Amino acid sequence: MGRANPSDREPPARRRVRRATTSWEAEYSEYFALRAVPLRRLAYVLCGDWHLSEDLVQVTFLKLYQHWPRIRAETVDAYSRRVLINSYLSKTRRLRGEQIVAEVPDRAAAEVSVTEAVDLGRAMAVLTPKQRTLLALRFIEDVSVAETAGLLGISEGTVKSQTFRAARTLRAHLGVYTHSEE
Amino acid sequence: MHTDPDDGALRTALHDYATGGEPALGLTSAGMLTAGRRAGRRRRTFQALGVAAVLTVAAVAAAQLTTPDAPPTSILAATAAPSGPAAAARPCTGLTVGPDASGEDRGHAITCFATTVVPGMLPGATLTQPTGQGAPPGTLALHAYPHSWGRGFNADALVTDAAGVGLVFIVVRPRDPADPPPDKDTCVAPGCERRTGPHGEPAGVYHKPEAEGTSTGWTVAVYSAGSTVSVTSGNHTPDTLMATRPAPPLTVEQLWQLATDPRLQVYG
Repeated sequence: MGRANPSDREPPARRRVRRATTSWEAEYSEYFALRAVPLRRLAYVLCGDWHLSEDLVQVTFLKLYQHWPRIRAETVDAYSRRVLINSYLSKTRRLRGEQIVAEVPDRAAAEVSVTEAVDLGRAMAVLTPKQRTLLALRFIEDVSVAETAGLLGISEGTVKSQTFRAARTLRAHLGVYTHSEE
Repeated sequence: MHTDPDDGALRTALHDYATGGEPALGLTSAGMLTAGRRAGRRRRTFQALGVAAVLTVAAVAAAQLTTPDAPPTSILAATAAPSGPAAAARPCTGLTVGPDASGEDRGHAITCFATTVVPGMLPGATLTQPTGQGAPPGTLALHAYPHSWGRGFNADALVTDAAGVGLVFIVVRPRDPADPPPDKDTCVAPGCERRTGPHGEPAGVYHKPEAEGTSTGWTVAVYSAGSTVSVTSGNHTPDTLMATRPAPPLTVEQLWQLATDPRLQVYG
């Protein structure tokens, strides 16, 4: 397929399949299988809503389908992240005045308690959309400072300083919530 | 650079937050392919509709710009020729001209033929009614008008294209014993050639000799039982004998094709 940048995480067998693929729709399907779930996690950190996350992923993959033959393999991850983030930021602008709040998870993972998830969700809701975007890109997607700067159209220094502030705010609010419930 | 020793912990917390209550993905690759194809079809449909709408608007605008509002009122005025029979005032379909046809019907038949066939031989040319040839005011190019000094019709056009300006004119009149076809005694001048039409009718090709700097032209005349049809093309305008283009706009063979067409033999 030759599309996904996270090829470091990709098993060699999949790479062979990608090279053997001739139809771009097959490439697209493989990319979907590889990246739909991570992109939904990115979207969830951004918006705190699983349904909205899925909508954002759907919009992203529809746009990817539309432009797939013209997207270069080395830029497809950046392109998909950009589409998803732009869709999210656009939605938050439309919903200006409404607060996007974290949703209580349907069920808890074994290692994460419901309380911890709710706390983090509440703390994330305090951040601005751009701060959430920075944290999601840097800590969920492991995107480099340079690429984050390119994606958001800001300088690398701004990425570092704003990420630092967002993390500090998050910890502070997480501490407040944790403290208040103790 | 701002670094924090707790970044690792924050990373883990965020990752747990994003995966902790994660429901099953409701999207499938097959569903996305279907949705993508549907969106693509919809987009192409809208694009096609948009293009069609633009073309329709452009065509309507072009038609409004190119359709003359009214024929010229002066005999000296020139009018763009219509490009097909639809331009004639009466429809040309199902047209038959019998022995009892009126003069108007015969003229209409000539107009239908000329406006249908001649423009196809002159792609890209502009056809206008030449001035000073006896056409009534308002006559369109290649539209038949009664011959000014006897029975019969003329249909003329001034042809303008990249090569210059030239003439085409058609004359159709009843066969006149006083106007015999060329024979061995009369077709002796240089440029005269006797031929026989597709139905054995006598015909002649007259080539006007070309002197240096002056115009030239060809005439093909066909003498059927009831009609004399002559079609001429010259590399000049009615106003000058000097060449206004290198060669006449129609070739001898095109003139032959026109003159031998039975649709011009409106007198039988």
